[in-house]
Amino acid sequence: MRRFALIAIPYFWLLALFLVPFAIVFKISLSDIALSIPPYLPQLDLAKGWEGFTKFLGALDFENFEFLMMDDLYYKAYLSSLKIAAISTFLTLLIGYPIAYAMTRAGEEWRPTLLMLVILPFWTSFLIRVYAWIGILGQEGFLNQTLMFLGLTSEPLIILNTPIAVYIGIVYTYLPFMILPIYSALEKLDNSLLEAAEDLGCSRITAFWLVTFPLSRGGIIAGCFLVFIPTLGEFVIPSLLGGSNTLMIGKVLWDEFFSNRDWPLASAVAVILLLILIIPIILFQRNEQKQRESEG
Amino acid sequence: MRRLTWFNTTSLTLGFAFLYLPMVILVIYSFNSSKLVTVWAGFSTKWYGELMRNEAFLDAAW
Amino acid sequence: MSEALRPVFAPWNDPDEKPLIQFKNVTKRFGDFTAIDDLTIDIFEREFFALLGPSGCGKTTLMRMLAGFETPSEGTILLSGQDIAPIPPNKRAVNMMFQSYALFPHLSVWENIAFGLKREGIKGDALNGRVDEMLRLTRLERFEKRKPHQISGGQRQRVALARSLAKAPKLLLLDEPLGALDKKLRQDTQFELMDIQEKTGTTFVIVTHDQEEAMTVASRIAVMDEGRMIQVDTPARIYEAPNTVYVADFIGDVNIIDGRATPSGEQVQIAWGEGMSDITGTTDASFEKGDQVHLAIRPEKVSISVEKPDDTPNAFQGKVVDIAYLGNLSTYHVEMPNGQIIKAQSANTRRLSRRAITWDDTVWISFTATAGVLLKR
Repeated sequence: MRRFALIAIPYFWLLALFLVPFAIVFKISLSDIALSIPPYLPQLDLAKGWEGFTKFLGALDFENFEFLMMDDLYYKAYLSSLKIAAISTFLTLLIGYPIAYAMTRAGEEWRPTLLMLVILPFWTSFLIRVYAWIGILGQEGFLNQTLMFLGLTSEPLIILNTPIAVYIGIVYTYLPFMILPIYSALEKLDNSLLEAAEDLGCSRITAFWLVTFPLSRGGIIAGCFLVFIPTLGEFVIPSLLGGSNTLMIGKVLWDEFFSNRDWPLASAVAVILLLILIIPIILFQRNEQKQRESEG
Repeated sequence: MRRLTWFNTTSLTLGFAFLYLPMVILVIYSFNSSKLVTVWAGFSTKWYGELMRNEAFLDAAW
Repeated sequence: MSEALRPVFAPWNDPDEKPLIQFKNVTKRFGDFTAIDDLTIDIFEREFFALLGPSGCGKTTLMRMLAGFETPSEGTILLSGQDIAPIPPNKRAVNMMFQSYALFPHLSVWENIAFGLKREGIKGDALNGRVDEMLRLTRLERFEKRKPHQISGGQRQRVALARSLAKAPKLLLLDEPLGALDKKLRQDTQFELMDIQEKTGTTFVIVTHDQEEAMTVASRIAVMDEGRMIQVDTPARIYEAPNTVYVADFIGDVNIIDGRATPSGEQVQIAWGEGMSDITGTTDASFEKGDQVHLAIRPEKVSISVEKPDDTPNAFQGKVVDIAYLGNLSTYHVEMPNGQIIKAQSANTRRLSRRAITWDDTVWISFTATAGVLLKR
């Protein structure tokens, strides 16, 4: 009982910080667009008393959600986002795992430096780093100039404003999120396990697949979720690098909110996005818990 | 100093190059005297000068 | 049939026996540090060979070279006559039981034991049969489905043993296998290990810093120090006939008396202190007059009495300064006129209150001429 009292206050505080904004967004998603500030109706005016409140509830409806279900754009955007998030997560894993692995194989004296090098990008501006890619991937950009200079291509490659650029941008941005949990899992690995595997007849590669890889699974799953969940709602990277060709739900939400000034519809998009994310978030939590249990 | 396999050294080099090249390129191009981002026209610090004079940036930073 | 003469297991004395393992002038350096220094030794089949020594003496390095995790800087290692240096660890008929057990945490006990067998391509009934056999050998049948973190330390140790024996290797290396067990369990397991070794006919090489363990299980012990084998012999000979003060001191309790030798006929007189009569000793080695000599004599070979004993060539008077009571034995620390303390041990054949000797008593300690070993260094 005492333990509950101890965490009760922070627990409810955090709960409130999540629930209150969510409740507001949910309420807006049930409203209608209007030419007012804020641009939705009805608005809750407590001065109007109980009657005002019931009238307020009556004006709410699920119209926006119905619209979302029917219009092509939205479900295509959700699907496209899921696809891009899944592929990006896979690519980030493919690139991040060898880096994390190599970091654990480096000598002890290198580890702090390497770790710092992985974390350092977090200290710089995310926006600027994505902007840098515009300069690199454009038709006159650094990449094309280098390729043509080296004679590898005769015509500039079109990368910017295509999904490829979005993949590059996402992998680039979220790579540290993938490297760190995998590094952490691999670092805990007891080297004598690999020696035992070799002693029992494994080659180096077999030992990796049978011992190292399964034991780093917790780190892999954590890294994948840390990339997948935010990527699903990403909009800066697809806006800057993806052009109009790349459809992601984050961009759609932004457009509804700022270009169309349709707050209710945008809020509905956000609510659905959150519902889609609930399953991955819960799975991620359970994985973390399982990790903690097996360690203890 | 433990010897790293070629695979691991390549992973590390390419990996960190990938992470840091864009920033390095950005810094190099900030010294580009040409206004066009991608055409190199000679070394110049004039953009830093402009930054110091730009009211909006200074207000935002300070 | 009369009581049969049990053949003594001593292949190292047999000139026709071919050794299983041969180290020929093996040296191993790590940078500036020499871990193994020009080591030559033969180890025979079915031996339970113990590498005994303090930390840093090179015993673990030696074992790792046999396993294949280190290669010699100089010299050759032969297994059944074949140079094993170019053979990687996964291709050797050698298996190792790790100090930390190194059980695969994501696999069950059954899977751990089957691991090595699967790598050889063994499957189906042959696989099941062998794994079951190992489980029975180590009495782990009930635990086959459990994971390593769900069983006790002693059980984990047995899984490690079963796993390392599953492939029936020619040579099994055991790296301080009993270190993590409590004393009672350790003693039981020592005998289990010896049983299993005899039953399977495998050659065991064990690394340990616990001399009691080495004495119990080994057919031969190699006492090591700083990369060299100081003495390689049966436990009995190591105990009764150490070849250096280092070995004498390392195993069991011992009195070391330093003095100057004067050979006289078959015996040697040792002058060991002002105003004290010489000690008479016998030795196989030859000493010259005036040589520095060390007499190593075990406390249980030193008798203690209140009255001066007759006919013992070495009898000296002293004062009891300390008594270590061990239940079954008592070790008396007797101070000699020259200040040196000699330890005399005797069984407590009488109950505590009835014992004749106590602190500060003046007593006689005595030993025969053959009770000790004369060492040059």
